[in-house]
Amino acid sequence: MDPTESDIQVLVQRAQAGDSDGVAGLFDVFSERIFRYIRMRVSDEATAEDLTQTVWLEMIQALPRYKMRPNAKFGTWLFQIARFRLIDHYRKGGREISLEASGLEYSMSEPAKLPEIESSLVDRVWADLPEREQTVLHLRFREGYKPSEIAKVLKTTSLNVRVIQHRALRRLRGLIQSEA
Amino acid sequence: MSLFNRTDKDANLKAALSRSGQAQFKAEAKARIKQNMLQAFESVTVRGVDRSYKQSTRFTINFSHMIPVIIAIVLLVTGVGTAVASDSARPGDWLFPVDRAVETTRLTLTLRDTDRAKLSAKIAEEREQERLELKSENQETEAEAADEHTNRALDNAIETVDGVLAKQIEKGNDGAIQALTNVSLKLRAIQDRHEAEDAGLTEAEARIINGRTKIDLEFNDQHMTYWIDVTDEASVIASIQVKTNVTEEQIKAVLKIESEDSPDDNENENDNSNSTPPSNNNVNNGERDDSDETEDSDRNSNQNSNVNNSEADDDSGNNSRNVNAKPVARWQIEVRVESNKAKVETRSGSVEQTWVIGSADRASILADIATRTGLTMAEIESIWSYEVED
Repeated sequence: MDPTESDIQVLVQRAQAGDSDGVAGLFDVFSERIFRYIRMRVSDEATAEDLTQTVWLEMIQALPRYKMRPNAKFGTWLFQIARFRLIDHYRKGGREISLEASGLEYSMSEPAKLPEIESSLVDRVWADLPEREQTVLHLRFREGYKPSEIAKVLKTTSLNVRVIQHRALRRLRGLIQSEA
Repeated sequence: MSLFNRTDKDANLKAALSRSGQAQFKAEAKARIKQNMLQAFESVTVRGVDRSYKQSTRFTINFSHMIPVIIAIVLLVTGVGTAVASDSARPGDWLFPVDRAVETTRLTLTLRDTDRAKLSAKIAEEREQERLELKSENQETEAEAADEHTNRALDNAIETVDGVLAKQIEKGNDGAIQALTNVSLKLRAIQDRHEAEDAGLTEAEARIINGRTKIDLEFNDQHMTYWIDVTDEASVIASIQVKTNVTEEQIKAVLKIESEDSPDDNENENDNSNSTPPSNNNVNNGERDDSDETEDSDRNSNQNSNVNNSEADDDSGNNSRNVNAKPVARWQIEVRVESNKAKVETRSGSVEQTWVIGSADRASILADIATRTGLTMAEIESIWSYEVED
């Protein structure tokens, strides 16, 4: 069963108090989600693993500054760190293409058998989406965050997130139609 | 139909999206990263009785702490050309990491606490300047990265400055207390502005015209204009709070107040009996709809160049000011020190505050009032009533 937000807050409190079980618990909850977010944006698995590790090391350094607020989720804060590390990564080496056109290097947990759109098509054209649109779509449809929560990751307004989402879906539809 | 209404086509796309991107995190890599993270966590945790986790702790071995030493050696060998060139670098520039490393080196090499606090504040202000430049150039991604750098620099600077300020207050070093209090206030104003931006309030401007106030807001990417029938700061702030639900401190950080009324009008600004508001007939609860205000404001703005605010900076000739720079003449401050405690009463316009400070130390009391009012310690001393009971 997925942990509730209050379970996560308890883990954060324990981690902030210096309890390694707390930080280990946070890693268990979020590590795969952070890895998936990063993996879709870089060209190889090793880079994704390195960046994932960087995110967690940075999380540890920044954790004392993290303030729990009633409407704020720890996950959005963590994704914000991940996003900035990705942006740094793009900057250092020039923007990378996240997936090779020849195919995927990783296995899909559930091969898509959707009647109209196969999810592998989404993966194939994903790298052609701008960075902000990737983040909005990922957090909205794969992570299930609300626009107001995504707004915190992007440091913008929820209205703007909805606009970005609308543009991203339109662009994605066009890319998939071209690809198919 | 709304732009965001769902369609069947979108539903298929969203379903495909939710099933895509399911990269597997290999168990071996996951275990390795977890192990490294836990080791790092153990290193940053204070090894004390309560094992409380504090920001000031550090890795036992951390490459980042060696950077200043490396930079110092490089500077000795290659000269300071690269370091000087990097000083103008901004987030996104290849020299920016060098700029940061040089700053870290300077911080490490600065031995006096007060100097180090001031330097950390200067670095935070530099980060903020870079962020504002990138934002004005519409470099969105770089500005976002700069925002993160600014937040970190601010956190570090505020912690450093406040720590040193506390020590100086203990020592009773008035000069240092004054200087550090001003630095601390400046940093908090920057931080409040950030938080206001995060809350959606990016601009707030109040223009006093003929005894009334026109308020322009940029809130959640939308422009909002309205009038209120009063001109004092507290009422302006309160009206913006009602509109935006943003805190008072955050509003103060972005609010600019400008007066187009004459100095005499300003001195009597709470007395509207002599004022001639542009359109009082439409007023409801002190506000009116702004659909027809453009002509009035344009006409009035033409008078601007001939009008001086009584509190305006004579050198600049500009009568606009930030609300944090509160005119000292409008303040009344009374302090009564008794039994190692100080009771403080302040009044500015219609706003009154009373609080007790758990110290009889004059410098501490001044610093506390300065923090709460935004006035400098010299300004406070010039107007306050300070009594010590035997």
